[in-house]
Amino acid sequence: MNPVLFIAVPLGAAFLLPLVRRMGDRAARGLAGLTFAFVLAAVVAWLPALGNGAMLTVTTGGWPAPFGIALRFGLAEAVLIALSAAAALGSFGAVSSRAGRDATSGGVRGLVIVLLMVVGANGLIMTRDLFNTFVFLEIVSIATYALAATGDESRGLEAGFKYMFLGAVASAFILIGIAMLYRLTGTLSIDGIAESLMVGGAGAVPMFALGVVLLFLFAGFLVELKVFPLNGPAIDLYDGVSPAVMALTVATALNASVYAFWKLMPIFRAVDLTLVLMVIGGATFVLANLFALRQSRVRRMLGYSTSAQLGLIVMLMPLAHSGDVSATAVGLLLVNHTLAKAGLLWFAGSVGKQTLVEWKGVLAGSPAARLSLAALVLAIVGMPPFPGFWGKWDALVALSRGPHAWWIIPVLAGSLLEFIYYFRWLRLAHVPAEDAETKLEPTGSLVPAHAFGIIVLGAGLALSSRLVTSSTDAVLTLAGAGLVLLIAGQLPGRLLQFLSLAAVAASGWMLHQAGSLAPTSITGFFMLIVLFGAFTVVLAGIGTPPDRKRYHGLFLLLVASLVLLVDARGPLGFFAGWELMTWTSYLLVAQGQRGGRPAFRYMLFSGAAGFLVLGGILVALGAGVTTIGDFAHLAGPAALWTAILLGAGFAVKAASAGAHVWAPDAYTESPDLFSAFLSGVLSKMPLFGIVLFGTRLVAGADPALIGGTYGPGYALGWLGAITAIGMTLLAALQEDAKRLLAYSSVGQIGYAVVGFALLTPLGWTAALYHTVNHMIIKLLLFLAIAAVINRTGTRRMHEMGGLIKKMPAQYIAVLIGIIALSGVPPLSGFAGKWLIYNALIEKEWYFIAGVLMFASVIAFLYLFRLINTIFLGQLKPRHREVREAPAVFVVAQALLVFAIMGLSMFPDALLRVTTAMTAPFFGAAGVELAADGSVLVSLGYLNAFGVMAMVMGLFAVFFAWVLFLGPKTTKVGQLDIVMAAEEPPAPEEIHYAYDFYRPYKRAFAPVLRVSVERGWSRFAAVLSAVAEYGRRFYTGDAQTYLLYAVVFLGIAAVAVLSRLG
Amino acid sequence: MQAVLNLDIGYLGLCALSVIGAIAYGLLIGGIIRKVMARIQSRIGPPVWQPYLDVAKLFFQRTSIRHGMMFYLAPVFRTVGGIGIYLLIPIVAGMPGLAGFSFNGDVLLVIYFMFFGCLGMALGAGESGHPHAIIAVSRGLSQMSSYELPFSLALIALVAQVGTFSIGGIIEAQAGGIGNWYLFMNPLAGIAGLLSFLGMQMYSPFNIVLAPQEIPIGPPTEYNSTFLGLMMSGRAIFGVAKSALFMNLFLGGATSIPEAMIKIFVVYMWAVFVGAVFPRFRAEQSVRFFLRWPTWFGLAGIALAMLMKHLAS
Amino acid sequence: MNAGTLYLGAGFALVLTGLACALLRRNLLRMVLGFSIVDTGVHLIIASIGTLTGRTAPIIDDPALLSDATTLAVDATAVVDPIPQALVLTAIVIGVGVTALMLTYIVRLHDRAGTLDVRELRDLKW
Repeated sequence: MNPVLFIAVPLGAAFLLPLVRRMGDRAARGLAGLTFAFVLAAVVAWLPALGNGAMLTVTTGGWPAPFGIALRFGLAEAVLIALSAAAALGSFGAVSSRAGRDATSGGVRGLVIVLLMVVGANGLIMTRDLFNTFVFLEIVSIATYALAATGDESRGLEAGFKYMFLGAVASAFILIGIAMLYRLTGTLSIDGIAESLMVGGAGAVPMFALGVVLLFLFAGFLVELKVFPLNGPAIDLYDGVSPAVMALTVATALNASVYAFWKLMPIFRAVDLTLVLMVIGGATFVLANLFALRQSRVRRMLGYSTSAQLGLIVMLMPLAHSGDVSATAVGLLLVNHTLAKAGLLWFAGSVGKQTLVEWKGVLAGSPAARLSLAALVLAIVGMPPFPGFWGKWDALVALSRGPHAWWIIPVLAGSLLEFIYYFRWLRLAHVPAEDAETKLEPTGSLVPAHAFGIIVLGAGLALSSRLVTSSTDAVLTLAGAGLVLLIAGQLPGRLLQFLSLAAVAASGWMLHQAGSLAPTSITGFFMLIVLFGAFTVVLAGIGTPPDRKRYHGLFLLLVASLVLLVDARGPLGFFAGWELMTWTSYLLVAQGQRGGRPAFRYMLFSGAAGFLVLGGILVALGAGVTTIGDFAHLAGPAALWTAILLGAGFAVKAASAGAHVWAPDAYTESPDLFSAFLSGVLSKMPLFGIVLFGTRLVAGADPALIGGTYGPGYALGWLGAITAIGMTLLAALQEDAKRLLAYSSVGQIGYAVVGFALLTPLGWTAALYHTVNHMIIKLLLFLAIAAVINRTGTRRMHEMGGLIKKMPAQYIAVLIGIIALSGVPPLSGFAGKWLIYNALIEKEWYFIAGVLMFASVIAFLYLFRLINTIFLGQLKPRHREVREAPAVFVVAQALLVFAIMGLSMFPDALLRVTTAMTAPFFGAAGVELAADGSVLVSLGYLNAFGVMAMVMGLFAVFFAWVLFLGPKTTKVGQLDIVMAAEEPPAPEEIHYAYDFYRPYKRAFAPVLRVSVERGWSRFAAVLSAVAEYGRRFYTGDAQTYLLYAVVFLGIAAVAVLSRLG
Repeated sequence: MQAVLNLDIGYLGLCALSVIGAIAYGLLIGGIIRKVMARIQSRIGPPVWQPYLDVAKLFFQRTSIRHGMMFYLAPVFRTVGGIGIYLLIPIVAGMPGLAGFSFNGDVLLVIYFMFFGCLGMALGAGESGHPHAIIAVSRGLSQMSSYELPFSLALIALVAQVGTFSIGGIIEAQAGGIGNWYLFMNPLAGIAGLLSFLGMQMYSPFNIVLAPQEIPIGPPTEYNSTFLGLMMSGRAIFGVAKSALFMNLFLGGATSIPEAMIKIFVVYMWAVFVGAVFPRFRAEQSVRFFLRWPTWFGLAGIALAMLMKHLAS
Repeated sequence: MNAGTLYLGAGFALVLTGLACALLRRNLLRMVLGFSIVDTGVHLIIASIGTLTGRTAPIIDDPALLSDATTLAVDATAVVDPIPQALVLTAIVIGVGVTALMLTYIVRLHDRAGTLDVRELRDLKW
C-alpha cells in the first residue's frame, strides 16, 4: 500500500460525491463514511509496523526530492492521519444525525468539504516540500472557511470572515517567507533547506536576510497555531461556529498545522527562535487559561482552552527539537488534546447548550454522559492515566533537568487555571436534578464523544504500564472490580458493597503475598491503614449501602489509586497515584446530594496541592534524583526547596489553616460513608507523603540543622498548631454534626503535622501514633453519625436528641470515640497527646505546646456537644420510631471499638512499630519501651495498662456499689423532671441544643471575625477581575486583530534581529 | 503491666484508707468553708460536720429515680474520676499508700484524667434531660477550656525549668526551702497558676456551673440519694486532689501528712476568700477573664523560664 | 539596482500599501481590496526572485538555450529559474479562490446584517 492513497482516496471520493449524491443522500453519506473508515483502518493496520521507528519516503511523479515532491510516512504521521480520519468519521457521525445536520446545514454537500479537509490535512502531515506545505495549508484553511460558512448562524459568518481575513494575510506572510527562502537556498525541499542552512553554516546565507524571511514564515504559522497574541479570530471562530465543525478542525487542520510547524523547526533553528517560541507559547498557556475563567459561553471557553494547550505545545516544541524534551512527550500532549478536545466539542455540540448557566443540571439524569464528560475533562487537564498526564510529566521532568527549569512555573500555574474553568463546567453539568433548569435533550449523537472518551482512556491505560510495581495485581483487581461495578451500578447496593468487600479482601491478600504489608515499613504501615479503613467502611456499607449508583465503582477505583500511591517505587508512581487519588475522590465527593460545589473546591485545592507536590518532586528530579530513596542525597538549596514545596503541598492537602476552606464542605456534603473514609484514611495521605519524603530528607540533612530548636520545621509546626486551634474552635460552633466532625478532623491532622514538623524521633512517633489513632476514631465517629443521619434523615444536631434510647450501640460508639479523641485516660487518645507534649517540650517549642494544650481542651466542647445534643436530652416525638443501625454496620463499628480498646491498653505495641519505622532514619528511637509495658521518654513516663487497670478496678467497685448497695430506682418518664413546680413544655422547647456555646462565641467574637473564607473570595475576585480586563484584549474587531499581527511581527523582528546583531 | 498485677492486698488497703481519709478531709473542708462563708456574711451557718450528715443521709435513702443508662452510671464516673485523680498524685513524697498509683503516669496523666469525672457527670446530666443541667455543662466546658490555657502555660514554664513531667521529679526540684517553691522561683507562672486554680475550684466569681439561684445547682439537678452521695464524695476528694496537685506543682509538695493537710487547706482557702469578695461572672466574662491577664502571665512565665534556662546554660 | 531588486521593493511596497488599506478602511470590500493588493505584492515578490536581467523565459524555443544539443541539457545561465513562475501561478490561483470566498462571505454578511462596516461585526469578542 502507498501512503499517497491517504490523500488520493479522499480526494477521489470528494470528486465522486456529487455524482453519487444523485443516487440519494444515503449513498453519498455511505461513500464518505467508507472513505474515512478505509483511511482509518489502513493506517491503524499499518501502525504496528511503524512502531520501531520505520520511515517510508515516497517520491511523487518519479522524481527524487529536490525536483519532485517527497512525502514521508512514519509513526507520527500515521498517528496524526489516524486521528484526522477518526475525527472525520466521528464528525461524519455527528453531522449525519438529523438534528446535527440541521445545526450545520452543510448536509451532504458539507461532506465534500470534510473530505477535502482530510485531503489537505493528510497532505500537510506527510509532505516534505515547502511549497506543497503552503498549498495543503491553503486547502485546509479554505475548507475551514467554507465549513464555517455552512452554518446558518450569522455568528458563524462573522467569525468565519474574521478568521479568514487574518488567515489570508497570514498565508501571504507564509508565501513571502517560502519564496524568499527559495531565493536564499535554491530549493523547496524542507530537508534540503535545513541541510543547506546547516551545512553552509553562518556564512553561506546572509543571516540578517534569513532572519527577516523566517519571521514572515514564523508569524504566518503562529496565526495558524492560535497562539497569543494572534489567537483572537480563532477564539471567535470557536464561539461562532458549530462545535462539531471545530472538533473536525482540531483533529485535521490544527494538528496538521502543528506538525507542519514542527517539520519547519530545523529551518527556524537557523536563527535561534527558542526563546521567542517559549515566551509566546508560555504566555499563551497562562493567559488563554486565565481569560477562559471569565467565559460564560462553553464554546468560547473551549476555544481559549485550545489556544492554551497549543501554547504549551509551541512552548515545548523548540526544546523537543533540540532534544531537551522528548518529542514523544509533546506528541502525547498533542494526541491527548486532539482526542479530548474533539470529544468535548462534540459533547458541547450535541448537548446544544450555549452558556454555562444553561448547562446547569443538564446531565443530572444521564449518568453515562456524566462519566463521559468527566473522563474527557480529566483527560484534557492532564490527569492520570490519560496520555496528557504522561506527556506533561515527561516534559516537566525534562524541563527540570535542563536549563529551562523556571519554565515549570508558568506551566503549573496555567494548568491550575485550567482546572478552575473545566471543573466549574463539570460541576454545573452535575448539579442534581431538583435544581436543574433543563434536562438533557441531545441535539446530536453523543456516540462520537463517548468513543473518543474511551479511546483517550484506552491510550492512557496502555501508557500506564510504566507504573508496574509489586502491588500491580492488587491494583488491577481493585481497578478492574471498580470498573465492573461502575458499569453494574444498577445492581442492589448491598450486593455491590459485598462485591467491594470481596475485592478489598482479595487485594489485601495479594498485597500480603507480595510482602507489601510489613507494618514496620512505611509502605506496609500506610497500606494497612488504607486496607483497614476500606474494609471497615465497605463492611458498614453492607448494612446501609449508599444509594448513588456510581459510588461503589468509584470507591474501589479510589482504593486502587491509594494502593498505587502507597506502594509507589519512584516519584512518578507517587505522583500518578496522588493525582489518581485526587480525581477519584473528587468524583466521590461529587456523589453527595449537594456535593457539586464542595467537590469543585476540593478539586481546586487538591489540584493546587498536587502542583506544589509536583514542584517539589521536580526540584528533586532536577537535582539528579531518580528514586524516592535518592531524596536522602539531596543537599543545599535543592533539599530546602524540595522540602518547602512538598511541605506546602501536603499542608494544603491536609487542609492546614488558610487552605482549610475546602475541607468542611467536602467532608460534610460527601456521601456519609465516604466522609468516614475521607476523614479516616484520605486525610492521612498527606501525612504519608510527609513520612515518605520527610524520612529521606531528614536522613540526608545536616544533623545540626535538624537538631536545633528552631530548625526548618518550625514554621510548619506553627501552621499545624494554628490549624489545630482554629479548626477546633470552629468545630465547637457548628450545628451540623458532619461539619463538626469535619472541622475536628482537620484540626486533629494539625496535631500530626506538628508532630512531624518537630523532626525528632519522638515527634514522629507521636505523629504516627496519632495518625493511626485518629484514623480508627474518626472512622468510628463518622460511621456512627452516618447511621444516625441514615435513621433520622437530618444532620442538624438540634433536630435530634435523646437518641441513646433508640440507638444505644451508636451512643456507645460515639462515647468511646469522644473519650479516645479527647485524650481522656484511660483510652488511646491520651497516649497520643502525651507523646506530642513530651516531644514539644523536649524540642523546647513551648508556645506551640501551649497552643496545642489549649486546642485539646477546646476539643471537649465540640465532643461533648456531639454526644449530648444527639444522644442525650429530650427525645423528639418524631424520632420515637427510630431503629438501631443494621447488625453488619454495628459489627464494623465493633471492630473499631476493639481496635481502640486494644490500643488503649497496649499503646507500646504500636509504638514498637513506629519506632522501628523511623529509628533507621533518625538513628534514634526517642522512646524507650520497658518490658512491663511502660513507655519512657526523656521527660515523663506512662503505663497505659496500669491506668486502664486502675480505672476499670475502681469502676467495677463503684458500679457494684450502686448496683447492689444503692437505692431501688424507678424509671421516670421523658418529661418527668424538676421544673420548679411547673410542668415542662414539649421536648423541643427544653432540649438546650441550638447555639450551644453562645457565651463562648461571644467571648471569642474578636477572633471569629477573621474569615479566611472571605480572604479567598477576595483573591478569587481579584483573579476574576484580572481575567476580565485581560480578555478585553480581544476586541472582536477584525482590524484590531490584524493590527496585533503586524505589531507582533514588528516586535518579533526587533527581538530576533537584535539577537542577530 | 506487672507493676499493676504485682500489687498486693496490703498496698491496696493502704490506698483505700488514704482515699477514705481524703474524702473525710474534703468533706470537713467543705463544712469549714460553709462556716467561714456564713461568718463573712454575718450568719451563724451550719456546723462544720454538716457535710457528713448530708452524705450519710443520702446514702441511706432507699429509693431514687433514674432517667436511663448514662444517668445511672454518671455518679460512678464522677467518683472514679475523683478517686483516680487522687490516687495518681503522690500526696506525701515517699510515703507508701499516699503515692497511690502515681507510678502509672506523670502530671499530664493527672491533668487529662481530671476530665474523666467531669465528662461522666456531664453525660449523666445530659441524659436527665433537664435544661438547667445542660446549660450548666455548656458553661462549665466553656470556663474549663479557658482556665486550662493559663494553667497549661504555667505548667509548661514549670516543666521547661524543671526538665521533667514526673510529679516526684517536680517535688524534688523544689526541695530545700520556700525560696525554691515554684510559686516564687517563677512568680509570673505562679500567678498564672494561682489565677487558673480559682477557675478550677469554681468558687465565686467562677461558680457559673452550679450557680445557685440561677440554674439551681446545675448538673446534679435531677440527682438524689446514693447517686448524689457518691457525687458529693467524689467532689470532695476531687477538691483535695486538685489542691494537692497545686501544692505539688507550686508549693514544693509535702513531706508529712500534717504539712500536706495544711498546704491543701491553704490552697483551698485562697479560692474561698477570693470567692467571698467577688460576685459571680457571666459565662463569657469568665472566659474572657482567663484569656486575658492569667494568659499574659502564663506567657510571660514561659518567657521567664526560657530566659532563666538560657542564663543557666 | 537591478530589475529583481526593483520588483522586490515594489512588491514590499504593495504589501505595505495593502496592509494599510486593510487596517484603515472600515468597508469590508475595501478591506478585501487591501488583501488583494497584499496578495499582488506577494506575487511580485515571488516573481522578482526568478528575475535575472538578460535572461529569457525558460521556454526552449531557441537551440541557443541548450548547452548540449545531444542531451538537451539547458544552459542554466541563459534562462531564468522556472520554479518561482510556477509558484506565482499557483499562488494566484489560490489567491483568486480566497478572494472569491471572501466576497461570498461579504455578500452573505450583507444579506444578514445589512451593513458593510467592519465595526458592526463585533458580536463575538472577549
